Amino acid sequence: MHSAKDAELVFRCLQGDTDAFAELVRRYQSAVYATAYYYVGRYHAAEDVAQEAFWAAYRSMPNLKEPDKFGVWLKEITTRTAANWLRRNGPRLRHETPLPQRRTVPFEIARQGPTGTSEIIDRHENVQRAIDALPERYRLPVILRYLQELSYEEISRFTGESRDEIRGILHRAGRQLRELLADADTTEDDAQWHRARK
Amino acid sequence: MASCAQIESFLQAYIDGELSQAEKVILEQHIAECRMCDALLKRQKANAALLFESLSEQRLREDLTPVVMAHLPEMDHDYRRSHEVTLRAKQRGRSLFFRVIMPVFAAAAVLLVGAAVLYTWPKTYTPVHREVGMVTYQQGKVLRSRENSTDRMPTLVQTVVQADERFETAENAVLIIGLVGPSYVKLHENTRLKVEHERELSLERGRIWLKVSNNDRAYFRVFTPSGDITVFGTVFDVHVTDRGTTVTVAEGTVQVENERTFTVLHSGEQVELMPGRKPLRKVAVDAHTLMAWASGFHSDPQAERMFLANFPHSERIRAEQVFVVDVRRHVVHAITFEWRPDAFEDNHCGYHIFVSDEHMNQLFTGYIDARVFENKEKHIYELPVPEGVSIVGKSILHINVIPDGASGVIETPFIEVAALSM
Ligand SMILES: [Zn+2]
Repeated sequence: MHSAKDAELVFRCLQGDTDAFAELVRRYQSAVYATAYYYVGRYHAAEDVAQEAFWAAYRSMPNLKEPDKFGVWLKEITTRTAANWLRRNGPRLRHETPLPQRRTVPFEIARQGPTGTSEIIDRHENVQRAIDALPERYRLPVILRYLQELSYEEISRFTGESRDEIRGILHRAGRQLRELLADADTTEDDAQWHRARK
Repeated sequence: MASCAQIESFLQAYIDGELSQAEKVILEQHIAECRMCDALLKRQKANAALLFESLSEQRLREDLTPVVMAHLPEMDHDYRRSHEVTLRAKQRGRSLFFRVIMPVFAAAAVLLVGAAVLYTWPKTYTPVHREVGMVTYQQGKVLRSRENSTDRMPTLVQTVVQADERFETAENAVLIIGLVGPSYVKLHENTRLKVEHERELSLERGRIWLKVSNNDRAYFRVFTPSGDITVFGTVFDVHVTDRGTTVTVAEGTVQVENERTFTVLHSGEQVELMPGRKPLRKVAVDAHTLMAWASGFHSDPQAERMFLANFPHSERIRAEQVFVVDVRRHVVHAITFEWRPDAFEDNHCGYHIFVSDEHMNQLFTGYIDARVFENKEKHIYELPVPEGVSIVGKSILHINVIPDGASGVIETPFIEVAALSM
């Protein structure tokens, strides 16, 4: 999947090859978006922040010291971009009021009426609460995995932790989430699993 | 057969398709015979499905590439300048809420100075008598040469400056040299300057901007082809042209002399110095506008720190204090410094603060003004993380506190340094 190495693409960017940057955007957009979602998702600003992060990365590319760690560097930039965004736009009261729902209810579901809608929102809130209850270090890998379905290798390239560390983190996070969500959903069959995966 | 505990540790990776072939075989054999693990696998799968499903509405569906590429900004080819802008950006106030409710993570350790310097800087430097300063910023082509030598060497940030060294900036090049004191000299393009020693410069050609410390009573002198300049602590600009030398003063007092006469310049005054000409006529000028060329570039923070910490700027003890704060990946908004108020009314040192992460990457710098220590009611100072800098996901912060030799002589030991976090 990764034909050219990140470092090679970075080098080409610095030479003025914008196609190389486009390739880096394609390669990392899921991770950047998921990270942005992690910080600003509740304000529906994840896409904006992801775009801003890529622009910031492009601007400061000459400052990238270890081109083979482009992913980790990009994560730092995304985090910073998100923090700046929150500083500019985040409501001042965000620690004093319950979090707004991070999710918009899709039109089709809303049409089904109040019952279906609220059930989905409840479930979504349970999941969000469970993720928020995880140790901080687990949260971003969990979001990268479950929001964008990144592989352990892709998560590792972005967070800077080794693939084995990511496996350990997701194992422990998985166990905690299972316990936290134990009574959230009881229909545990493979049919549902396949539906969700598609 | 594998233990149930081992199998449990395989479950998530199995679901995620991340087990090795061998591990997969072990797991599937075990599941076929162990109903407990099989049930656990089913629950774990259902759990993963719930997570995927409930986040699915938020998943990124559109390719961001076209939008990103359509508005691609200019690549920043002068990183340092933009970095400086970030560091000097306006600081942000924080609400009372943070101050009162946010937990404070205590400083873990105060390290000894000697040990800390070694730990902090892999590139150790042993000052000897002839080493009088360090290059703290460089842009463009700058060459240096030693007295009695025709070799010209390139000059880079953190180059140690020796007495009797000559620096030459090419067109569009600029340079900052920190000299023991500390004093700073900024060289304009097409400038040739000889550093006689830390308190004497010869400007042979071009233009310099100077900031001279006033921490001791020694003169600082600049020699030019048209006459000499003697200064105490001050900020001024010297421009050598074919016609003569123009001296402009922004702060402090400067004495200008040629072989026949002398005059004293104060802030906002300028004089043109020509060989043998008398009298010297002072004119009032907008000094800061005239010196705008020098305000566009600043010392590299890392080089500045190396310079301040490694050169003896005066005879008194200059203890660098190093703190390591465990921030556990919290978002840090401010750093607090606590001390016990002393009995002195004034003459305290100000402190340069350098904040780095666990890899010693510089995050930001700050300054605690000496006057802060004059207020005996006060024993804690809060340094906000500047706007545009975010400290997120760091495990520890290194905080180096270096007294500013130019501000005073009484040093303050800090008893606790802490990070304020959400
Ligand atoms: Zn078993």
